[in-house]
Amino acid sequence: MKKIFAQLVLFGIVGLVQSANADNNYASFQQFNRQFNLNFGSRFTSLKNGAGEVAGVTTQTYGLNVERLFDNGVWFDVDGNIASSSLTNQTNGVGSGQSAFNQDPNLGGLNAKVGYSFIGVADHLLLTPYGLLGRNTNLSASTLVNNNNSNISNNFYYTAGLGGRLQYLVNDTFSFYLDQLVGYNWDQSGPVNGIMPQNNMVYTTTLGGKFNVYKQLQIGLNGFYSFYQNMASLPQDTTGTSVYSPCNCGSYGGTISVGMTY
Amino acid sequence: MKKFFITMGFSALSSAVLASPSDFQAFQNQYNIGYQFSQMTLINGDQHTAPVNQQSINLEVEHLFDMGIWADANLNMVTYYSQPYLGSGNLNGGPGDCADSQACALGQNPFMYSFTMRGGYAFSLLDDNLQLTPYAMFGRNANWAASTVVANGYQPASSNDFFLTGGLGVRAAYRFGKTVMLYADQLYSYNWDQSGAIKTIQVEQYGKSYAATNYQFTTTLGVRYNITPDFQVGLSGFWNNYQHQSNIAGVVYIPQNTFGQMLSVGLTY
Repeated sequence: MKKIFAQLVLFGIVGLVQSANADNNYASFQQFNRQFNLNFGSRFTSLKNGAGEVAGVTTQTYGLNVERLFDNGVWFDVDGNIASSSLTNQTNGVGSGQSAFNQDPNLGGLNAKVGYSFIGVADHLLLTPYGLLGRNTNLSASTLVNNNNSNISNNFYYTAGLGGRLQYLVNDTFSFYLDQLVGYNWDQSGPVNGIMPQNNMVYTTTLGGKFNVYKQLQIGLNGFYSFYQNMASLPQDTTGTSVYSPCNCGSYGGTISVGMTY
Repeated sequence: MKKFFITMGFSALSSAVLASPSDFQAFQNQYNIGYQFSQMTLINGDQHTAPVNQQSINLEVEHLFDMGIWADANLNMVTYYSQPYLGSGNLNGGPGDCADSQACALGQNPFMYSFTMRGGYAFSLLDDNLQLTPYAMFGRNANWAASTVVANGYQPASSNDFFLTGGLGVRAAYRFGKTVMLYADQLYSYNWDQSGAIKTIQVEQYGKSYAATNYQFTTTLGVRYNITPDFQVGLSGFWNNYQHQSNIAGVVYIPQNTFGQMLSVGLTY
């Protein structure tokens, strides 16, 4: 029984990862969705404190992305990114002034989306519901404070979510997509002093394009809008000012990528 | 005789350079996710050492073009970090001096995040069974040592505290059919501290000016196993040695060497 199960698993892997077949129904979509790229992003994250005051953080990122659409319709997209700059205009409270960290918790992460692609219109329209799993930093200054400035590697979120992506192929060169994700950031930092974990829901809408400009060279461009719903009231800092946090007042940004199809 | 050797040399070189689609592409057109365990030794100016245990996750994309050009990109981020308390000046979670310091959340290993790219040319030898790839490397690595953050007056760490890294290396690979490939990689790189510590570090705190710029020598031995034509598992071990470009003050600990291993699971294409 064990041997049969092992063989089934192996056959499953073999079937899943078999090389692209030009005759399969997904071939035209694979021209865009079998790719990897190097990307640069910028975003502005609005922050709000308990007193209703608003501030913001501008963050630049760079990352590596790998995407694959298998012959059988299984799709995945793995994205790793790191912040190269994060600057805030916040003037009061923790994370302002001389502070190595501000109130944008996300300074890096690795996220994987896995789903199944349904063909809506042959060679033109693709619908892909998917699940997401990831690990993202929770390096806001208040998180460090609420953990007594203990080990930085404790301060992260496990992220899970569900989403859907609608993709339209204009021709062999142009493709556009709309992606909607509902995610949950599960704080693993274990805050002390009676502070609640900073779990939150995040809703992200992305509109993007992929352009196969020359042979295997692909350029990508997207813009996104996110908003956050915090699951716990925000902690107070030592000065009595409410802590700023990403909020339902929105975060927006975009990414440009240069990559290769395969 | 001389002419014979010259002819042989040109012949070998041309066959190496002009080799079109290589059997090594079965191993090197791949991407993977890896998990890394490493043990670092820190040392201070008084020659006291301290251990660091670290784990990280790695995303790698590699491509060998038909024409022989080879490219490899790695994104790495720390998921676990542990070091003992090293005393005032290293601010890593010890008693007393940590209550209000963000630096206490950090340790003295600066490399919490890294992104590196390598590009080179793969020479195919011995009927495409042996491959030799000289390459150049460029990257951006975090310099998030606690002492760096302190020395820079708690400036935004993501924006200011990093190394630009450049290097030269060579990789030798040997394949057994299309199933197993062994490789050895030697890299000499330069981590150029961009944090500005050399300009602004507080002499009163550390005793002297200090920049974290260093040379890094990395030796890697690895194996890749294509379980199926498209599914690849990798295992590697590496050794880093660091040579710092500034004399260090007595209290500050800096990396001396690192030993580590990485297990990866990926797909070829």
